[in-house]
Amino acid sequence: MKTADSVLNARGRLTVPWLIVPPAAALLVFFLMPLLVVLAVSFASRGTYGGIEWTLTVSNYTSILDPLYLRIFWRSLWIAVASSAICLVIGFPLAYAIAGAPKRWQGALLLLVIIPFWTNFLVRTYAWMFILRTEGLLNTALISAGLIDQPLNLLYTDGAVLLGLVYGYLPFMVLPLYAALERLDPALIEAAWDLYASPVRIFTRIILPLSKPGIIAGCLLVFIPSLGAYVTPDLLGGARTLMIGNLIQHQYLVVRDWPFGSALSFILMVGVLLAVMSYLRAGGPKNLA
Amino acid sequence: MKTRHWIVAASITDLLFLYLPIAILIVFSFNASKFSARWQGFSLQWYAKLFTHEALLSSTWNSLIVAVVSTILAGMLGVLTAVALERQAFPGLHACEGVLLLPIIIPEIMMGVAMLLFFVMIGVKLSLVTIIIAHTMFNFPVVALIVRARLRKLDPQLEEAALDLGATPWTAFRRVTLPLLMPGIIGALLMAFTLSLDDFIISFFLAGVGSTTLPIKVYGMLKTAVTPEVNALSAVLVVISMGLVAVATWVQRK
Amino acid sequence: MNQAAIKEQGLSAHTGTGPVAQPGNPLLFARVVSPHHPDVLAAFRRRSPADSAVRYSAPPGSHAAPPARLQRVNPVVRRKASRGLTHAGLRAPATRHPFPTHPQEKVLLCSPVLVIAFAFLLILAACSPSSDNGNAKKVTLHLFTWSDYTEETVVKEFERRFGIHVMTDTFGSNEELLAKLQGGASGYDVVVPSDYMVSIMIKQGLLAELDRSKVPNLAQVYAHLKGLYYDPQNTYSIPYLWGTTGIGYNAEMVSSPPQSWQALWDERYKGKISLLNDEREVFSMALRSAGESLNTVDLVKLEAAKVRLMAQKPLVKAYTSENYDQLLISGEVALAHGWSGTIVRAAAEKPSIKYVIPQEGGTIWQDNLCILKTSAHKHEAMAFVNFLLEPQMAAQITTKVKYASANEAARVLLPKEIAQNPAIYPSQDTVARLEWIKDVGETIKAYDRAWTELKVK
Repeated sequence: MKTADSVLNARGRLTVPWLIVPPAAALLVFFLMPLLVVLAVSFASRGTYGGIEWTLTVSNYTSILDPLYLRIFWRSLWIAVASSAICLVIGFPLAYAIAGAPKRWQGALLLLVIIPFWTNFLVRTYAWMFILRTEGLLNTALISAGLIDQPLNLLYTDGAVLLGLVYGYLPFMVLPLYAALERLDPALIEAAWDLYASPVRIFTRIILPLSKPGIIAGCLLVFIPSLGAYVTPDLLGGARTLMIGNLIQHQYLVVRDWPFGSALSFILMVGVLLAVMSYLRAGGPKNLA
Repeated sequence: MKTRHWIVAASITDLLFLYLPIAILIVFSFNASKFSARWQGFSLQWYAKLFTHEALLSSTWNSLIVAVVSTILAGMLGVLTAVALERQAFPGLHACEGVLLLPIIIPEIMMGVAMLLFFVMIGVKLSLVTIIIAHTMFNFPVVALIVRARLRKLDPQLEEAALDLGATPWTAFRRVTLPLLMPGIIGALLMAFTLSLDDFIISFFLAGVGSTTLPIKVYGMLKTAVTPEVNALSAVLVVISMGLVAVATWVQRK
Repeated sequence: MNQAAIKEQGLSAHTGTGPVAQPGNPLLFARVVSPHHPDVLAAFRRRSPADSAVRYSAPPGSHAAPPARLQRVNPVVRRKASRGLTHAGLRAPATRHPFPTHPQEKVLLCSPVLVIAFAFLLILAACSPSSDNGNAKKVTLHLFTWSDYTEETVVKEFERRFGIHVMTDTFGSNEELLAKLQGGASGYDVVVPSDYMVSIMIKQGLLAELDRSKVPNLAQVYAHLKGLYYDPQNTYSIPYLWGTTGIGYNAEMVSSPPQSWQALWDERYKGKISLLNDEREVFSMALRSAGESLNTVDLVKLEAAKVRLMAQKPLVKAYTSENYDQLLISGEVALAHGWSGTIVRAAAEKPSIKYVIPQEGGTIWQDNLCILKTSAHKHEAMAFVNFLLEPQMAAQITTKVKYASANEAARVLLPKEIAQNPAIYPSQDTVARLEWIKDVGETIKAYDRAWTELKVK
């Protein structure tokens, strides 16, 4: 429904989409133009001292096809998928509970989800390292409880990386889920109860479809930063393996191969964009947002 | 209802999960040891040091300025975008939708580098302002995404009714749409604020003279040693924000 | 990077036609059009004539769109407002001018656009270089250095004595420093790059020539730390602090103190070893343990080092350059490949932690005080550099950061446990076994690939 427009158009007046002008201008100037700069750089070559030489080449893109890099892409992909899935599973009940709480509490509860993230990300990661390490809190507790004899190797594993990502991005799942669930009319669920629907059926037939936009937005907001993460794999994974983010960061900040780093970034961006697009196509174009 | 208990239990577990590291940070901000790994007795020295550690305090201040200003800007641009995409027809709407996703999709480091190159090209000196612009740019599409999700679910007839009753589009928006959108907007703003406060990579590339933000400062401190002043600072921030939340809730209830 | 790519990249160097590749083309950075920094412009223009082919971009501000005309509701559809909506603040039609817009309402309608436009104008105004509100009375020096690398009391003393304000920003690696400075006019005055980064920055034309008459304390710097490969005449850099890379170990957890890098391949310490997460440092360790130069450009030797590192990987708990001191203290690892000062600071916390430079030798590095070409306060910057090298001040800094000062006279002022600590001040014999990390040019791509393979395995 384009209310305002239809009204104006009925009188044959020109519609000025002025609402979109400031955001579009901002995007154009401060986002698309910088991207064009990087695109240009991805076709240049690395200077001897790490600068950029404007000799046109596609070698930055052909070298990405190396199985070495493809393996890094693949690994990052499954870690990102797994972290979104875990966030969804553990974030859903929380979002649902907040949405179902009395109105006056909702704001406070949302804040409660977010406050931990007002402390510094790096410091929080350090706190996890403290918990997970061999002589850390968790192992000490488990041993003194008699559950295990030998300390578990928790830190510097893929599991620790996943944990860090889930911890880091959980609010990005909870907030959009809440936004979707908050709108859910409780009468629908009550009606279903009255009709003797099972909780599972209520969940799959009512709650899930109605919160779909929130689920998709949340999954995207978790999946994407997980895919490009580089500090978490370094600190919690012990930098034993690389994710795409590490590879890109390495190109920019260690070997100073900005053209290759730019090419990697572009491939990553296009890949994610295609995945998002196809997902939207499959699930109907009106799913997102 | 059983389901209800189950949901509440899961939520409480989630909250415990979220607060566990924070609790540990706070506990160890009272540790006498410089290396926070072992407990060496109770001490308030890190709090004393915190309030004399100028660099840490000023970087915290910088982070707050950036987060507040960029959240306000992102909020305005984001709501505008959401309304425009939902309520106005214009050529290039789909292109706009696609482009709007890009800031969310691209790796942070790419955005950082891209904006660094760009600002240098147009001769803008790096400062807090460049960080604010960058944060606004990656935040406003997030706001737009969340707000639009909510706007889509609103019954347009409410607005139409207001218009029919003689309201101007702006009044209809302000008095009808905006209040209904509010939960979505608040959630989106909180998200933007959090993203901004936590961002390290983009800020790093765009920080100039005197605009070191807290994450940049902490990252630098990793090189030598993370001193428990950072723990103390985190504890103070958490306690202050929880206090504010408590006060706000109390005021609301009255 | 595949072989073809390496060949292609290396081509210009091999054919040797003309000077090897333009020194780090400052690329887009070259188009710094700030009128406030004409010297930058000149420098960059000289370096890359090709740049002139590219047009300068439009000045910022063009995007701040004027508030578009507001949309009005067609009066035809207006009806009498119902009670509820009137109450909600809607204007009843009777109170308004039928058409065109009521002025007050127009303002209202415009307000969101106005606010945004205003905010952007503000930002752009603040963006412009002219907003650099230089304190007229008091000069502010901008120092860009490693975190916690200057003792705050030393800076305070300088501010007191010279009446100059010092603002410090910090970075975490040399490459981060470079990334920030490639932008041209960064606003910093004094920076602290390590050895090899000095040579890169000189080649990029970022550093100002120093007036050494203003840095008399340079005379007190150890002779063997002056005139190093990266700046033979100390034209651009003044030695500041130096250190080594070795093994930190927990004496309670090892059967005998490690003497050789081979200890890091010892099966007994499986899962109790940490390595620096640093490509060059890790390869230096592997190459030196095989008796090779750590700056080798021989791809066969590099490959051999990679194979050895891959065999070692199952023993390695983590690759980290940040918190290995904590890993040592908490007993997470028994052996940590790391930098001298960091391990000495950990030893102060836990006395069983020791530092050793293996017999095969390792890396030596030095951080330097440099002044940027774009600095607006070179005179004050020189005074600051000289001040940091005053024996008293240098001694204070070394006492805190536990890295050796380049100033020879400072050593006698240090507490004995620092001045006599071989981990901080290694003997001449040991120093003779150490090697500087140098820029290996195009071979860095081979290093990079080997490092990536090691990580992906």
